[in-house]
Amino acid sequence: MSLKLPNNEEFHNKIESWRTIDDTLQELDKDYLDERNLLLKIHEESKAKLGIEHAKGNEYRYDLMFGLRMYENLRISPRIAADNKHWIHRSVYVVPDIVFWRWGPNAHERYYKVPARIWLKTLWWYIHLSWQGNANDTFRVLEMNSTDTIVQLVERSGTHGYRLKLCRVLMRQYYEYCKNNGKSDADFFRRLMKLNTARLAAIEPALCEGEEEGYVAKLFAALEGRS
Amino acid sequence: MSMNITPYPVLSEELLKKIGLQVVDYEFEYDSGNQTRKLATKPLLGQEHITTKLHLSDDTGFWEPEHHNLRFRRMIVVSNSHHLFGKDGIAPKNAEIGIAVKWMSRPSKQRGVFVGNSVSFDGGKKEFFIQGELPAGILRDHFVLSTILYLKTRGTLQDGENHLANEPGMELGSLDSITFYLTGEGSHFPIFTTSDDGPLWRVECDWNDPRSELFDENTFKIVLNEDHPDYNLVYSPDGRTITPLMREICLSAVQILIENVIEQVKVEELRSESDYDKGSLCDVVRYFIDTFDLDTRRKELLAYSLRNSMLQQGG
Repeated sequence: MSLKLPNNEEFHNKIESWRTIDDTLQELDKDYLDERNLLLKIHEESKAKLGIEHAKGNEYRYDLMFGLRMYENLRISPRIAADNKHWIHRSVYVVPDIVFWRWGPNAHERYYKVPARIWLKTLWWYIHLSWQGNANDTFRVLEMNSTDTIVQLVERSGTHGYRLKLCRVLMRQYYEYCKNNGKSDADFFRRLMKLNTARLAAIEPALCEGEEEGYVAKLFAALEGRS
Repeated sequence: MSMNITPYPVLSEELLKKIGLQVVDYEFEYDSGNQTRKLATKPLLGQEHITTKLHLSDDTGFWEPEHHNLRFRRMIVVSNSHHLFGKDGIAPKNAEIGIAVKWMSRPSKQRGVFVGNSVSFDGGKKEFFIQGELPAGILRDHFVLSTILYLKTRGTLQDGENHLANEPGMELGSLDSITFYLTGEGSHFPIFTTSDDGPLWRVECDWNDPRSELFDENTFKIVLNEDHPDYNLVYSPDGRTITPLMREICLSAVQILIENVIEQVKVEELRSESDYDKGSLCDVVRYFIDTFDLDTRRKELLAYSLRNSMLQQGG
């Protein structure tokens, strides 16, 4: 089904007018009620499992739990997930109340305004780029991270898109680094992603010795002063 | 031919001539059930002179990136590979150079690489075969295939070779880079499938302004019903010829498209080519009307002239 979306001015006015969660429910897309019910169920179950009523103070824990289950249950292809229109539609007309619950009023960039920051989209890609073959292993690899990890990974797509295998190897090796150190290290992850971006200008990880595994191991070695 | 500015030498035009490079066009195909179907590449309408931008099209109109894979293969011949090595080349004399095809698609937010054969100093004339496959549900809008050389195995640096790349994985230059478009102009028909109790096919038209909205799967699509008992008559057994049924479905769909557009925008306005965007529904309908010399005065005349024109053209 094709999606027709209004222009940014209309979106702006609509979201400006939302002061409470109930305000967001006035223009739901009735063709997507099944999907809405599915996502609402995931939302409620995630809150219950974490024992929270509000997002504040639990942002990453909620994002990870909701995002992982959304990724598993929505069953959309990367091709569809690359289309901003689908995420804008989902954010504004399918589950605007969940986005509002997470981000509060006037969070324009989380609905439509900044493609890289549309919240539902960033969650889907965070999980997809970190996927370790099943939900349990993916959860374990991501559990120690923070919302900054989501930003650092998802917003560094590069000019021509993500290298999927590289991202997945990188997230797994970062988890092993955190496990060995007993904690996550947002500053280290930022430096890791910066060094990766710099090296990708001349090196194709899949063509290196040891392919992506070997390439990522060298990134860690360089940052840890082992090379 | 070089990529970024690198601190080491990469392929130059001069070196490309020396090595006697021959590249063969990419071949594309996809799987449909237990059949393999070919895809054709065609120049973009109005850009026939450009060979680095091509439209990837399926003459049967069946291929959908959401539901079908895409396989490619290509042959490359390097006649004098020894020029690539040593102090005047791009890699140490006893290193190994590999060939690979990078695929990149910004609209799909993904990229990757397919690895081919490799060549060494004493390899002589070498034919490289390289192939790759992308699964369904990845590609969107357009993608780029770039054939590159890279350092596969490092060499032992000899005198005069200190300036050469010697780290495996380093890119040594691009042989060519071609963008393939999946939607837009060309003979592409947005054909989708469904499975329900309904009729064999239907057309979905969904636009507000045909002057500005593009002719693509969002505005116009043919939907075939795989559960209909006559569905197996839609495609030929070898998948390479258009069946009379498929031709009639497509012609009827085009007729509906034209009728709907000229209800909103008069034919005279379409022919003036003044007030609509390139690639828009108006642009495509104007192309159909002019190219096939269609009689749009009445619906029955349009139906006749459309089919007659196809008949004259052997379609």
